[in-house]
Amino acid sequence: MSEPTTSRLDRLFAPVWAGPWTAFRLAFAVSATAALLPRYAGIGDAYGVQDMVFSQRPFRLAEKIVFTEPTMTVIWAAGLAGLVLLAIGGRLAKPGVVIWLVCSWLMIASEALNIKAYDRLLTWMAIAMLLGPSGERNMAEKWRSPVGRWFLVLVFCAIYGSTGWLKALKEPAWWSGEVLSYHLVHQYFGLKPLGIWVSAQQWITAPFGTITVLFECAFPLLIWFRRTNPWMVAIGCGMHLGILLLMNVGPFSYVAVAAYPVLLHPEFARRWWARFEERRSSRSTR
Amino acid sequence: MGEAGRDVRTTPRWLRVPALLLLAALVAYQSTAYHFALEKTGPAWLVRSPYTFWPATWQMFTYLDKRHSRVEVVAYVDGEWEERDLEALFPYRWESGPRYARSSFRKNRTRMRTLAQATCHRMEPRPDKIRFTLTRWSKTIGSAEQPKKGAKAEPIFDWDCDDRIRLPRGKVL
Repeated sequence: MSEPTTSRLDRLFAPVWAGPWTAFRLAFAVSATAALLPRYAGIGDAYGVQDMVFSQRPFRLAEKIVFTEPTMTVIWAAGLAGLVLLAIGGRLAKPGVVIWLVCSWLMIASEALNIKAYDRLLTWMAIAMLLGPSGERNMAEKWRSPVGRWFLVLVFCAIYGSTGWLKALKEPAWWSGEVLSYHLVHQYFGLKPLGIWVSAQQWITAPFGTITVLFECAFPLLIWFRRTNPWMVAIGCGMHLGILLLMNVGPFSYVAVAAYPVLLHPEFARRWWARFEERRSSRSTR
Repeated sequence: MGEAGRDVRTTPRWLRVPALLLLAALVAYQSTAYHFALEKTGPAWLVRSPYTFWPATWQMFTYLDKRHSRVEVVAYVDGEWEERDLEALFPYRWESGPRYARSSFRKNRTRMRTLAQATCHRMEPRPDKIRFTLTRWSKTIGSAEQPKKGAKAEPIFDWDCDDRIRLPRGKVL
């Protein structure tokens, strides 16, 4: 490889502050647990069921094996154990992610019908976790390769960009807030007390609908710049908090926000952490 | 350890080009998935393999939907049609509703046959036949009650409980 190319690659792959990976690892373990725990209740009626068994593309697992309730309970418990390993950190963190990934997808592929957006998002995030320095300890003292972060940012660019531009181009009722109003009273996803009230307040749904579309469309561009990055992260957190308060979409909000520490620009995150540390040490010396 | 005692490490030089290729492949895959999400009809190969881009299809709450829809069942027992609670027969549910709630489920005959036979199997007393209906009614903004104003129910699937189906591993139900 030529000298200019090598030096360009050296600059591109310059290590970045790795502190946010600890927050990501812990938040991922918590949100994946929040997705996995309730599935225990579905083992008898969905994952280990014997009369509603499906084999449809893309899942043909049931042609090879139909898990019984006890076997599925073991798989569920193994997945949970994988998340515990991840939460503990250290050398077993990445094997923990792999164990959880395999067990989760065995459950999902056995059920073969209800694969949620947060299942797919968790899977993409797990790949980022495997590419990044997720298992190491004392990350606040370390600088690591930016590749894991790039992967995660690209996945979120695809999610927000894709859903935002589909709304902007295909559904004009988003701008007036009408789509939001009707989703808030959806018989399964909606009907939360606050959501019901908000659904009738056009002065809230119209700006929220517009901000959602603008944020999702702008995210793939503005997340990369140091100056606009914190704003994108802050608006994204606000949007997911709104979804959490107004809609019933399971652990989707926790799952998405779990990745946010790594989405934050590493330099901004480091400064914020340094300021926090400074205040903490000055308080302890007082 | 790098300069000034910092613990600094990055991707080894030999791995940098493969890493960039991986990221380029991710961008290409996600962009193509988005491109086809905008198309109503994709190319022939995509119609044959509709799940190719499913891991990267992020269409969430995109379109306006002013109506509720719910699958319900009536059972023919002792010469009479009786309403039965389908959600009580299949109690586990996700945020999106019961297992069979999605429109892609009811549009698939194999899935409906399996649901139908499992319904016959679980009902006590076992009915002679069953009928699934799809009830649709308008959503009511600003209200916890969602009364079935102007509800329209249409039969979507009839099933004779004496019929049998073969599950994927060969078990006959």
